[in-house]
Amino acid sequence: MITEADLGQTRMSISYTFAPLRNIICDLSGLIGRSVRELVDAFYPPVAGQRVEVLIAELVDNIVQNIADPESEMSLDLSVEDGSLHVRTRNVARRESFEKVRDHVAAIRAARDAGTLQDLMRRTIRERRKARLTGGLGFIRLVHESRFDLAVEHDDGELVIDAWLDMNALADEKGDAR
Amino acid sequence: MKVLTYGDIMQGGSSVFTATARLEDDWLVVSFSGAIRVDNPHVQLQAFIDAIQLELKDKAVGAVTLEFTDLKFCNSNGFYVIMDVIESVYENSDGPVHVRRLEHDDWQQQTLPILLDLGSEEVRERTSFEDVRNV
Repeated sequence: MITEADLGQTRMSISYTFAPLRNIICDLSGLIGRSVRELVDAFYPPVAGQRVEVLIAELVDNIVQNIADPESEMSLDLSVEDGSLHVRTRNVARRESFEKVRDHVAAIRAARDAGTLQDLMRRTIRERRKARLTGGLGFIRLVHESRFDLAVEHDDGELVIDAWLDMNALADEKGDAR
Repeated sequence: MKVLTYGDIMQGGSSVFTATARLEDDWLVVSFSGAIRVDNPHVQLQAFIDAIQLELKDKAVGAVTLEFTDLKFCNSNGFYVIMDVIESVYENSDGPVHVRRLEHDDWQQQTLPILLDLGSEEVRERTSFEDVRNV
């Protein structure tokens, strides 16, 4: 008899690569997000699949909307092991784009550590809506709503984003007063 | 109930998101269903946002229900559409607003209260939540 606890110990990994980026004219984030969610739902609590779909939507949309080199490639790797879900994306990005993302993620992490993440989310939503700007909420959302931990680096001309989700903590969240 | 107006997002020839405003006597129900995944949802939903503002201007709206339980996914650009609709509803009604949302949905639990502007005392006093178990 395989129990839910047994299923939760399953190890898995998936890798996607797409090139050239100029050929991405489909709803790529939706296609990957939905299929990965179904896979994750097969083994782990539903909240994990829901969060992975949001994560993939935000990361892949960000890549597709900020292509630095249309001939280059992007990759997305996902693994679940030892109670941690890890997603890494890579794509060619200019140094200044990386620095912008790095500073943004640093501000989000600082707000999370200071317990002011909800204020940052509220303020950012209001400011961007007022200015009629799109986007700009994805990374905050991943940390505030979905409780991912994020890290960013610039490696050999590529923007590398890592996101981790503590799968062991999901069960404890069921009793959250929200 | 009388349908006041509705809007949808079409992708690949079929509707993937629908928003509907219905009225029965002075009870307004605004429902959101499907998924918002497109980069700029305002392109397809601005007409709905304008229409709901116009329709509610001369209606006597008492109680309001905002129905989110059929909304399966919302990207962050979709937040601004939701806010535009919500703002119209609060501005053009003065009764209680009952929000039906999914019990286990991160954005509906964590971010929807921000979109509703629960930081405002007036909004907070008018708003109640019903958490519906995910099917």
